[in-house]
Amino acid sequence: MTELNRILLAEDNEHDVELTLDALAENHLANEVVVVRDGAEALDYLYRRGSYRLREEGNPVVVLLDLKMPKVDGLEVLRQIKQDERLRQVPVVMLTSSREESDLVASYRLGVNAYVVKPVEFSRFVEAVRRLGVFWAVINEAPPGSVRKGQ
Amino acid sequence: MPPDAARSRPLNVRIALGFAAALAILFAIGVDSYRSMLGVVEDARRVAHTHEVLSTTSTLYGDLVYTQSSRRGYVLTGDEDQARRAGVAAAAVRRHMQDLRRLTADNPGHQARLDRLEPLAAGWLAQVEESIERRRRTPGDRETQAAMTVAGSQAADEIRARLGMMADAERALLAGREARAQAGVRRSKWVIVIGSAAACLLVGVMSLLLHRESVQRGRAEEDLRRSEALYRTVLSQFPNGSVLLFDHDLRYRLAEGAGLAQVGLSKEALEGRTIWECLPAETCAIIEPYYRAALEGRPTTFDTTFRGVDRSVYVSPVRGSDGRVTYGLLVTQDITERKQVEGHVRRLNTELERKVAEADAANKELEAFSYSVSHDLRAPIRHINGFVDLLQRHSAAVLDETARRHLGTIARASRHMGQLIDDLLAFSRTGRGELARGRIALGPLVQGVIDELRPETEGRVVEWKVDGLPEVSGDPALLRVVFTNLVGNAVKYTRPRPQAVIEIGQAAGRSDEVVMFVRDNGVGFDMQYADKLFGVFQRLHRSDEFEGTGIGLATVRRIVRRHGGRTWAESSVGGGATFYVALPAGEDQGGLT
Repeated sequence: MTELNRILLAEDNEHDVELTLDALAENHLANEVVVVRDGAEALDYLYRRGSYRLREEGNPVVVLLDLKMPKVDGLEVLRQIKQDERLRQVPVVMLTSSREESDLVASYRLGVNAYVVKPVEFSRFVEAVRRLGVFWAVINEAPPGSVRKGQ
Repeated sequence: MPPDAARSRPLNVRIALGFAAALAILFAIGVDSYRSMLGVVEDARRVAHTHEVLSTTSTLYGDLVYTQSSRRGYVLTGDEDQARRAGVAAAAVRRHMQDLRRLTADNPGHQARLDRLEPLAAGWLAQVEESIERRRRTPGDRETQAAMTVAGSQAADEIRARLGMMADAERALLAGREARAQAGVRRSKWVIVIGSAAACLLVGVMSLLLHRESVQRGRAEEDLRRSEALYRTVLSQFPNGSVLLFDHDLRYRLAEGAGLAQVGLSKEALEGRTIWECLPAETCAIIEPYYRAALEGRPTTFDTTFRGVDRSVYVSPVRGSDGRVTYGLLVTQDITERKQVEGHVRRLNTELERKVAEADAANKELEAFSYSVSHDLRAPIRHINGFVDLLQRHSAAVLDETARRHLGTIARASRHMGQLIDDLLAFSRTGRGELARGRIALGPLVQGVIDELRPETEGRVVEWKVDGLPEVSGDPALLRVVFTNLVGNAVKYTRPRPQAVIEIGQAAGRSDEVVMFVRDNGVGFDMQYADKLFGVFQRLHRSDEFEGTGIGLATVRRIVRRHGGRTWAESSVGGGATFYVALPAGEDQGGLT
């Protein structure tokens, strides 16, 4: 783990945030996790506007997106990311409680890069987050313009 | 005109010709008879004439002899009376000679004979008168008188001879005439006999033909009457409706049908009357345009309510053989019952639509509910499990044994809850949505299920007997759920066995079904609970014996039922269990719902 990268986590539930951050920390992947608490905030971050207008440039190497969020839901955030020329290449992973086929179909139709259902058992959740983090933040070669720590 | 007119017309002509021929024959016979009668009359006249000629000849002959004998008497006696008689007789001779000339004016032969006879007779008469004169003057001159007598006798003989010739000629003429007259009469007789016979024959034949024609006509009329009676009967029985025929005056010419009475009408009230004479004015105003349209050649159909009876009315033109509309035909049918049924069907449909809408709404609610369950209910469970785990890892040191045991219980309970939620969601999903349809080879599908269950059989001895699985029709994903549950159960409930034997194959069954079975040598179950087996949350074993949510077999039954099939099980406690799945046979997907 010589190189850690920035992950954007969009999740409205504080318990989920805590558990996810713990799981990432467990796997030493949490150094660069930006947490936003709804879809609007996630878009603000990505577009560097609102409270994020002063943030440094660069896209996260992966966006972990919850489906059900206040204001703007996960599917809408996904749609906007995949429709925007500059954001399209950012990998988006749905990290959700929903196993509903309609959510799956809608997500893939909008161009999601992965869809992960959070396991109930925490140990398996930790394992899933670990694999996700390792894959997207370390193994996967991020598109140009992504922020990598140490660059 | 009846259709057999073409055949009967020549017969009529033949009969007329026959009678004309008979009349002609009778007329000819009449003409011939008249002419024959005229001939007979003429012949009679001629015969009478001949007899007159003959009689005159004969009289002349007598006069001649009388003249001669009177002269002779005078010459011998000198009796003046004799001389006067001779004079009278001579005058008679002269007169009769003239008569004869007149009588035979038309006969050139006789005229020629008279031409010679007359001078002869004149000479002879002159000599007779001279002889009488001479006797008066010289009574003694006997010699002269004798000589005169000889000469006179010779002349008289010649005259007599010539008269005889005339009489003979006349007799010959008479014979010829009589023969001709008889021949004419004979011929007439034959003409009358043969002609009358022919006429009689003709009249007889014609009468026969006429009789036959009249019999035929009678039969045709009888047929016509019978056919009219038949269609009247048929029309009068016309069920639930009526048949009306009307002309260009909108006058009913025919009204039949059982439906007339239903609306307070009758055949008698309609036939021969116009619509205005037998129906209310407002009804006439409604129907008149339809009647007119039919008479103009345009048929119409409409539904109407007349005197409380819903009727379907069909008005159409009736065309004559020349293609012109002669009548309008109106057929009505009582559709009250149909209307009622239609109304009922409409109400049922509305009801059904409402129920479908309700069901749709319920389905939507259920979907929203399962979404909720899937997302919102799983989250707290996950959190409980997650934080218990954090507690166990980070704070284990400060907790005593009991607290750690409790934490373990909380973790297991939350896992079980998570499993329950997932199974319930899966079960709910099997009842919703469209079934995918396709042919599935069960062999590879079951093999895939077995491979997936490898982790569960790790470290156990399991003998698999998979053979003869068929290809079936159905939804691949759902059928995989069926076998995952059945094979999973077999693996689970053979766990106490040192050597598990799990057999999967095709069983014999009805011809319209394909039956598969999954058999194990596991713990089995009591058959008296076999019905409970496929119910939701129904379990025959305690959780600490065999884990489970009690949803698996319910899911199996629901999926199989949606495919139009059925499920059942056979078992005995400790003797293993066999689960059967029967799916409809054939390509036909009709059983799918």
